[in-house]
Amino acid sequence: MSNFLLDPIVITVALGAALLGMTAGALGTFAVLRGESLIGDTMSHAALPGVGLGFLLTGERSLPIMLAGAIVTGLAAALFSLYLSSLPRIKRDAAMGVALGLFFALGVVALSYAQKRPGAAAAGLESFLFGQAAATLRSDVWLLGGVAMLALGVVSVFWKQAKLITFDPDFAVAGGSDRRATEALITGLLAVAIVIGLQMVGVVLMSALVVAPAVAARQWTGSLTAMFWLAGAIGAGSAVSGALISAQSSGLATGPLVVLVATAVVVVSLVTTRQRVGRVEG
Amino acid sequence: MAATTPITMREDEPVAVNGDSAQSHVIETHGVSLAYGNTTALDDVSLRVPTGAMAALVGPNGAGKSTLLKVVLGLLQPDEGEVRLLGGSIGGSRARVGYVPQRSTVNWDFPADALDVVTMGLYHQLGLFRRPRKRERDRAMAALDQVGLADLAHRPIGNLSGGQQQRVFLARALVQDPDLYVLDEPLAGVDAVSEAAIVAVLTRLNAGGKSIVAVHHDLNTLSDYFEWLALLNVRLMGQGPLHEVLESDAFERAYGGAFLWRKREPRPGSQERDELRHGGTQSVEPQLEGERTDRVELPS
Repeated sequence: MSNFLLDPIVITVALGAALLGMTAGALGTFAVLRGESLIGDTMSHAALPGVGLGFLLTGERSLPIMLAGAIVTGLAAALFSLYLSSLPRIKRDAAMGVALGLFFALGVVALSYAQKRPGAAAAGLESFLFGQAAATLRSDVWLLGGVAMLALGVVSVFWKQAKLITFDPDFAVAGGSDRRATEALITGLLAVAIVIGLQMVGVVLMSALVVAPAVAARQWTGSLTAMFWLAGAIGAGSAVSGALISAQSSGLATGPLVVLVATAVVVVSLVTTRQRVGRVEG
Repeated sequence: MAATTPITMREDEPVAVNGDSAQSHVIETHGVSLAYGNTTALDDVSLRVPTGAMAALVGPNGAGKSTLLKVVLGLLQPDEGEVRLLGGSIGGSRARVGYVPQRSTVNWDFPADALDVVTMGLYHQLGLFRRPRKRERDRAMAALDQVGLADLAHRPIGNLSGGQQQRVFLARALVQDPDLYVLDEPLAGVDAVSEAAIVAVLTRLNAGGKSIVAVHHDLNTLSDYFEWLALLNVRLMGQGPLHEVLESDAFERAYGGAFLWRKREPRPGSQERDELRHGGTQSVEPQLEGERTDRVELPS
């Protein structure tokens, strides 16, 4: 076990998992508080065609290009669902369901086609479905880490704006805030958080790593700042646990393990804080 | 019964319009119209609230009261018409306006305590990069104290009563120290203690020269709290000093018979006293809308 933890590959995987778990968990705070958990699910499923297109364009495994493609198709799906829900008689959840299904189907088609191309196996395209921590390279960790730090830096700069728009958009706009720009920023950062986790956690379950840590963190704290960092810590812990278990037992997909850990934290948080609250009130 | 006298029509159409053109106005709208799809929410509304007013905006459900406030604050763009706020553009004046939205428009499960929410009132003054520090928190605390909630500063907002939440919203406007307060139903669904606290603060602010414009729903307390009145039902049915509007037929036209306006017999030597009654209650015969439609004309 100690040998296993000292393995440089394992350290690389754990570091990458911690960074993406922290970013996804922390940024998920805003998605959960805005009641937009489903948009995360839509964007993560819709990232798949972007990954496939990124590979088809370059013909090789280029993580930056595949992730850029994922961002583009993820945001395209979010915009498409917004357009659908602006039409009469289409509700928001139905619009997201349609967008999610369409883009995920396109992604599976693109992926099946790409699999036949030479070099597809080496690109580890399949790992984007359910995640494969072992497929992470050291260069990937630098990329993930850089993007994660950038995303957290942007949030800290626009913290007051994001807080105000999330709590009371009318008051924010009356005071001079730009609602559309702030919401675009929050959604864009969420897309970034989702996309950097795709390789390790996979498109199918990535949104759970965005939602679950924030839900668990909210049970423990009544402060937005504390909730943000606690969600980040829970996300990092879940991602590292899942990645390490997966890396040790070869072949086990990482995504489901990460989500099982994160969900366990949610359950423990709910049970524990319910008892605590019950004692205080009783 | 005998005390009820029929309402006399006035010939001049817009009721009690301020003829004083030299008077300055905190809110001026010129021919504002707005439709949601096929539904007209506001039709040619020209509201003129004088500076220093303690003003109520009143009208039946769906009359467009909140919509009009949102147009005035720049939250909604009117299809037609113009808005001037504190004598200037909306963008140029918004720093001097304190907005108290309807309590129901936000998610009170948001992780924040009362002091947090009041401090948010200072975010725009702080600009993009500066963080609230002790000075800001002290100001927020003073605002909470004014609404009587200093003791609850660190209580999660979800654990406050409706009236306390409304007072927190008022404190968030107070901390900005604006010249004009715009409040959307500040007394809806609040307990008696909170109502008294909110009214006391608004009265004190108004006495200190601040202008107040509030959507108000309780016609029984209208003349206790306010001195100026605008009546809205998609169109502006009347505006002016409270008693001038009450004495006109504007109420009838705004409420279409849902409310009756009863004049008491004036006692000799005393000023005429007026009283509002809910239609169909008390001893007053409700007047049916149909009886009146032939003689009531909406202002154009």
